Order: sequence, then C-alpha cells, then structure tokens
Amino acid sequence: MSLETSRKRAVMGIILILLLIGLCIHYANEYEIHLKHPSYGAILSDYPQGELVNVGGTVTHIYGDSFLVEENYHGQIVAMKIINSSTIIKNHKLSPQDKVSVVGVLGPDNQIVTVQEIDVNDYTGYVLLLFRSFLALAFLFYIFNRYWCFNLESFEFRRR
Amino acid sequence: MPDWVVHVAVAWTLCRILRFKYPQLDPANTALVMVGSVFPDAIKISILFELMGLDWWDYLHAFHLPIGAFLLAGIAALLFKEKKTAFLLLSMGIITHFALDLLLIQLGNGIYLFYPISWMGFSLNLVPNDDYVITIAALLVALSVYFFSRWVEKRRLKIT
Repeated sequence: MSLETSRKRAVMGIILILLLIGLCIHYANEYEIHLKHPSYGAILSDYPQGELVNVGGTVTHIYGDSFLVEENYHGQIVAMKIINSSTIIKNHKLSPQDKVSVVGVLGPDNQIVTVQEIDVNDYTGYVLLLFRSFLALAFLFYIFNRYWCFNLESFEFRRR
Repeated sequence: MPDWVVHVAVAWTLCRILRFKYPQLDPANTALVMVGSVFPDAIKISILFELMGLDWWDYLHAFHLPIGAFLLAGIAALLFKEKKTAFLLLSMGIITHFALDLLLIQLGNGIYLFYPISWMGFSLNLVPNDDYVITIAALLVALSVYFFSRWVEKRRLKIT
C-alpha cells in the first residue's frame, strides 16, 4: 500500500493506533494470569493466603524489623506490611519513599510473613535516574531538532 | 530501566561504529535511532498519571513490549517522507533499548519479548534498576568512540 497521500497516511495511522489500543487493553486484562507469582489483583479478589506473592510499592512506614508498603492499584490504595525482612535486605538501609518489590508468603491481614526476595530502589537513586533521563531527553530534543524540521504543509519531518 | 542517558549513548555509539561501514548512518539518521532508543519508555507517561492519582501502568505497559514499541515506531514513521527508512532506524533504536533492559534485575517475569505469541519473560538479572555505574560506563565508551572516529576522519582527510 502506497502511503504517499495524506488520506492514506491518516487511514494507516488510525489502523496502527487502534491496534496499539487493542494491545494495551489485551495486555492489561491478561497479564496477571501469566505472572510468576500472584500480585495485587489476586490479593484483592481471592486473597491466596499461604501462597507466594509478588507485591511492590512505596515504603511509607518502617517499624524495626518490618515496614509498610503502599501501592495505587487501579485507583485503589493497597497497604501491605512486610514482616521479618531485615535478614533479606543486606547492605541497604531502607527509608520512607523507597520503591520495593517483594516476593514472599502472604499471611493474614495484608501481611507478607516470609520474605524470599526483595528488590529495593532507594528514593534518591530514583530521583537522580529521572533527572539524568530528563537531561537525556533535552539533549535528544536538541539533536533531533538540529537535523530534522517539521513541514506543516506536507505534515512530515524533513531533513534540514 | 537503565536511564535514558545509557539508552541514547549506546544507540549513538552503535551508529557511530556502524557508520565506518555504512555511511547511510549519517547524523540525521543516527538521531532517529537515538529517538527510537527511548520509544519503549513512552510507558513513563504513567508517572505523570501517577502524580494525578491515576494508575495507568498496566494499560500503557504494552508500549514497553517489542510489539507495542514497533507499532509506535510505525505510527511515528508515517510522519517522515522516507517512511520505511524511518521505521527501520527507529526499530534499530528500539532493539538497543530491549537489549539493555534485558540486563536488569527483575523479581517479576522479565520482558515478554514475544508477546502476544508467548508470555515467556526474559531477564539476565545482572544490573540494578538505578545503577549509575552503567551510565558512566556508557558515557565513557561513547566518548572514546567519538574521539576515535574524529581521529580516523582526520587521518582520512590527510591521506586524500
């Protein structure tokens, strides 16, 4: 299919956008079934107590050997208490606002009672990562703008 | 994700090395590969939604899958005169992105490289998410390649 006319381009664009939207909806509806360990969707619907689950979110409170994690799951705030985690978190001091992902056994009352694996991304590191990425984005914008310009008439990017 | 500095630097480095053999990878085309290298991270728009209290991560996650990113590249390529070339260059950047993201440590399933055909996740579990050492390494390699390519070009000019 030749895409020389703007009408054909628009049709192809709409087809691709619809495909992308379909893919997004399909993924969002299906991915939880295929997770290695159940996550928030299963916890909220079936509460698989005693099973290994994978939960994540932002650390909000730290109480000695345990801490509280909060996650916005499709508009619903879910809080999980992670118990006896200090033996797993080595060489890392946990702080509020850190992002964590935990694999552990689900106990009663939204608690993870036996932690098997934990991945901590500290808040400062996360902010610095976003800052570095923002710098890269600004650089990318400059480079792209240097070699390409947008022609409104043909509605296309053209080489400078 | 490794930050965008890494993605952009690796895309540039690869293009600069390939340019010795393939002169088509001129600075304008390299800019397209660099743009493509951050396409899968269009999912990060979710951070803005998160600030508004909306959880759109699952819906936009398809952007961070090869098929979703290639569809995005297809949509973007419609805005260029040489659509096929633009699509191939953006796709080249997308491939470098996933090659780097495969290095990340992930507690979940990893990247579903063959979604929607297969839900098998892939991850090499080598690098933490917010590691800045990889950023410094990527920048040093890019800088070395930059100076080496300049030296080669000067030599070529002297010979001719």
